[in-house]
Amino acid sequence: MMKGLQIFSAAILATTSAIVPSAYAIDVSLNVGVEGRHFFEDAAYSQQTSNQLSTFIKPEFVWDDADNSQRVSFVPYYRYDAANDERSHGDIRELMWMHWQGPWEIRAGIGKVFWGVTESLHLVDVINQTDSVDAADGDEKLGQPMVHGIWLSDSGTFEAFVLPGFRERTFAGEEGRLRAPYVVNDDAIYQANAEQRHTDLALRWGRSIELMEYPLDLSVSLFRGTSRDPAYLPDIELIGATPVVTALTPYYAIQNQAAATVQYSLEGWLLKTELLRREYHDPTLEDYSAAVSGFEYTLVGPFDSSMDLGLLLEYQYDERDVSLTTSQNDIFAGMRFAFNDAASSEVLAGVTQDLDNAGSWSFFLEASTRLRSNMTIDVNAFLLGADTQDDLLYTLRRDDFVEVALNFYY
Amino acid sequence: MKLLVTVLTGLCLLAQPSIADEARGLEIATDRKARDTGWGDSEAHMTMILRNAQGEESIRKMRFQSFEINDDGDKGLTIFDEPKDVKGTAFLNFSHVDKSDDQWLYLPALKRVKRISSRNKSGPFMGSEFAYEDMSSYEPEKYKFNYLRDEPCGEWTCHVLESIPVDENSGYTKQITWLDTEHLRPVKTEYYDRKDALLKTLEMSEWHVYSDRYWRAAILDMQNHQNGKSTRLITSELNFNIGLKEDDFSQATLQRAR
Repeated sequence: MMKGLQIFSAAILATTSAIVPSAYAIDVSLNVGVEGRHFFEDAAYSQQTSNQLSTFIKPEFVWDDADNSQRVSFVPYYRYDAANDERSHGDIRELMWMHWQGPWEIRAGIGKVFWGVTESLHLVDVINQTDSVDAADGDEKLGQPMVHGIWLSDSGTFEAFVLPGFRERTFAGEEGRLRAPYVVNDDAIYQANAEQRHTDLALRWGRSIELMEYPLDLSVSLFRGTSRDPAYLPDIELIGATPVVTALTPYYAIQNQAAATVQYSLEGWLLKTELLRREYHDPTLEDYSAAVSGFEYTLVGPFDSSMDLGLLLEYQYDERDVSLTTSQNDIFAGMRFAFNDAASSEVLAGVTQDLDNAGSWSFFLEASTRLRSNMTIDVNAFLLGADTQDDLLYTLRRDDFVEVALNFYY
Repeated sequence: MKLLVTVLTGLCLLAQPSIADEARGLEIATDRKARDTGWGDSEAHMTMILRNAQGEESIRKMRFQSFEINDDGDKGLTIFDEPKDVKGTAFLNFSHVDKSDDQWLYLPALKRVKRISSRNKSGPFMGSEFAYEDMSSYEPEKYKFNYLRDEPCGEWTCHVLESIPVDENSGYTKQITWLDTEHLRPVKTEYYDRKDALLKTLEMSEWHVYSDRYWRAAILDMQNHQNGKSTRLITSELNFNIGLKEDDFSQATLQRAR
């Protein structure tokens, strides 16, 4: 990965010196952080640790050429984890040239795109691979090579993506918590002959209209390419005469995906739905449909305070069974407190309950506030219950943790 | 119909204020808006100083771009520069005259554009004593007016105007505004909360004129009388007609705001 970083760095220097003309502004900023995690219970698998200390650095360089409506941005990222080698990793989060002209915009390079409206699950968000070793909530993404065109028209916003190059999901190593009993090995296999160099394609249309005088946001997206969600094939070795599973190999098949999002804003209500249909080109993998739907209701200044209190409720459905998803028939309930204070304090907490299995649930809490003008603190907690072995959460049953992170900005 | 008008007029005459004061109030408000049309687009560099009751300060820096819309409220884009942890966060607002504003927030770390519940107009803007609705564009259609009186205000003479928000989601029952008689600049505004108690006072000073027509105050001081906090909003630089297009104010282009 570090070698990759060096090559990319050389590439950005070459690219920027070619593109960026003499009249431009450079903006440099820096985000560094220190993070400690404590796991409450003894590890389920030997070699795993109870405490984890880590640090990351994320500089940002932006060359802005407003006169010619173009910009180049570069965001490298590196995390060092003292307890988990696989979590010590680097990435190019962003290395993007963008240019806009009237209703057109073109972006080329490495970057991130977010699709979706719901809070408890990001079903339709497919462009970027999850950096799952980096953050437990799945919100951290790996930079994706892309050419991205945007056209704004009266009939909505049309976007097209050409995605050359695939990013493999990151996984915890043997020492890492939050993993299955078997380590996922680095030698992924692909359905596409071109493997990681297969070019994926995506299209998206989005539009806001009015329905009974309230805004309705719609989007439809199509994706064809290598699945970001791998299937796992067991590595079997003979120990003596007994076949034993020693590790898992990720298998990335080709998929077609059609998805839609609907969001209706009705006074204090935001009604949200994401719909997904995914079909694999490999007949051994099960095609499926999934949905997440619910609302966020915002109370403005409850209890004579100046905070906003958001009440969230979302229902998750997935056609597959519990051996492949944790969201087959689940309900999420949460609360978001935005204190609207000078320190921008916020707390988001929620619980997801499996409606088919009372013993299967998870809880998270994310709190943040500003301690000084350039320093913030995050406190995150993650707890879960899983009392049956067929539950995917069962592998994480002893991985309840609390995480405290200090972030510095320059 | 004639009878109804007569009855209504009679009722209005009985009630305070009289219909003549309402008409005079609307006339002043409409005149104020008319004097402030045709400016096109603008960008302001702003510093916000939040001060709590103990006098502790925290600083926000932002740029505010606006685009004038002739038959509706204006479009506004606020890009935050400080504190550094919210750098690049952008807030897009479409003001409307006859319905709730459309509002979106762009979160750069997630690359996510989130629609904000349109009822949230009375909430604080970035932890300050300004509410979202205080930052929205001035549209006479959002209020019912009563002209109260003329009186001296510092070096000038002012019309004193009562504005009653039409939208029930407003945080205010009324605003009392002092507008100087010569240029109709809102030099002072008192905000009354839903219980009709004095909540805040806004004083605007250091007025500059742009294009010989458009008056803008460089300093806005908002004092909250109920919690003792105050916010000073300083405009350090303001430019008109910098070439912004309506396309620059959209959910899609919000992602390239910097």
